Amino acid sequence: MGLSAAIVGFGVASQQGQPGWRSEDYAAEAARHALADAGIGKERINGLITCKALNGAGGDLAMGRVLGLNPGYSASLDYGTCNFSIHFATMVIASGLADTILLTYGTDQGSTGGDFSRYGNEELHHAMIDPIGTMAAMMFRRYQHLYGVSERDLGSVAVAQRAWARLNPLALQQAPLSIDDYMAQPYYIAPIRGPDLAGFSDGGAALIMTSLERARDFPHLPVRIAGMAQTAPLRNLQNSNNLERPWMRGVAERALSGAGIGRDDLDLLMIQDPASVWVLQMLEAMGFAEPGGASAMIAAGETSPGGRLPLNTSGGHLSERYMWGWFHIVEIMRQLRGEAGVRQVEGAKLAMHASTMAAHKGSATVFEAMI
Amino acid sequence: MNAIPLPNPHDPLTAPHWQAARKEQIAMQRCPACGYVRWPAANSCPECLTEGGEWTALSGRGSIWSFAVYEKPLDPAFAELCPYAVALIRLDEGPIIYARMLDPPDRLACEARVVAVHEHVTDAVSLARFKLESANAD
Ligand SMILES: [Zn+2]
Repeated sequence: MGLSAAIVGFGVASQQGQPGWRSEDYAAEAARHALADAGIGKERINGLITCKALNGAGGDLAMGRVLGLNPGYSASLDYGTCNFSIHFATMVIASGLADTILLTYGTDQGSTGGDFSRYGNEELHHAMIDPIGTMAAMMFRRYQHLYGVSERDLGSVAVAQRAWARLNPLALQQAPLSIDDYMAQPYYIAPIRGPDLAGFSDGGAALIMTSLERARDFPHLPVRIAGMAQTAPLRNLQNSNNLERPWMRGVAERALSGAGIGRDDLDLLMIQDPASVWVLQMLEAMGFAEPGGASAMIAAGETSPGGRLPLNTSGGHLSERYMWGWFHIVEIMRQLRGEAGVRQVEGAKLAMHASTMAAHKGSATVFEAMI
Repeated sequence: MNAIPLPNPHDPLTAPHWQAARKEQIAMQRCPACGYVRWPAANSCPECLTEGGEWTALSGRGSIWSFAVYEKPLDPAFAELCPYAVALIRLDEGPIIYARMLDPPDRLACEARVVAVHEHVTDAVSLARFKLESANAD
């Protein structure tokens, strides 16, 4: 059975540190732009799905008040990194609960400081206060043990994504980054360095989703949800080798087969990348590279501008900004509409976004331009 | 934050773990029905859902799954420990736990054998650290 939802509008709030703005204000700014992009007023919205920020802000109760909405259906996700929110909206549309849905996310964590320590890491020993950085360091150390790759190899991820970011006006990290620049950085938590982790930032993103039947009633080229899949390895460290995150393999295969395509059909790939080692793990788990081979593929330029598998063409979390996958979808919308400017992937029609919640959840979505 | 944060040793669920730590043992709950040793502590077995568990002293031995090295403190309370390593340790009985290593970080390796050493941090709290078995044999 095919999926029957499409994205017909998107908007972003790209400002940093707006005086007096909280997470909901960034989400609302993005929502205004998404409505304008879809060419509709808010009265057309009959479903609201919001992704809460790390600090819990931006739930549907708050966003309904800020945006003045009384929709027929609303919900919010505690961890709605964009794939999860999109999958939820696709199900709501299929169920008939709503047919024109506004999805929002906003965060002020660049200004207020984020706190990862509350986030689903109850096993973490109290000696650690940056679970993502700590996990990334441990994941890469283990990866080195398994495959014998070097820190320089890991650096290829940040370097390749910075090259893309330099083509993206929205990217917060624009300074040139060579592999020697990378190696010259001190360790943050050995064996990883600053460029291996995303920094907190402010911002917001919003999408308008509707049914396939209605998708062509909007002014811009719609983008169809062609395939989607999830997995939830919630037992975390009770699972063997959970931090190697092998469970992403099945997720990508199911999303691709749902879309009726193979890996080679994709024009671009977006991987949620709060830490660089996740990109290596996911490229390999999803079969884009042999185990241990992802960094060589990246260092060879295969994922860089002009390469055969354009990857994180916005610069990703590492260089564009940390937006829980939402700007990854915005980038897919721009690429599939042909609006990505100097970094446009020629003729891009099919894209996949793969994302995870730390080591607890995984998801992938295949997007297709409805040309 | 100026002090290293400590657990509450009187928590009803985990108190037996902390009492065992005073005696320099790592104790976890073993399921009376299926034998699964669980961590973190819980009121029922995540493997077979049987309620209850027998607090059991483990061997305190295991191997390093991986480790991270803090060259600089993320929390000032840890400044004088730097550089120090925190490891994910796969205990011989199965559970995987986080713990601070006592060895110099440059001596550590994935899969190295380690053994627990308890540090009596306060009059009420003792914490398991680990050291290399090979260091033990020196
Ligand atoms: Zn059991």
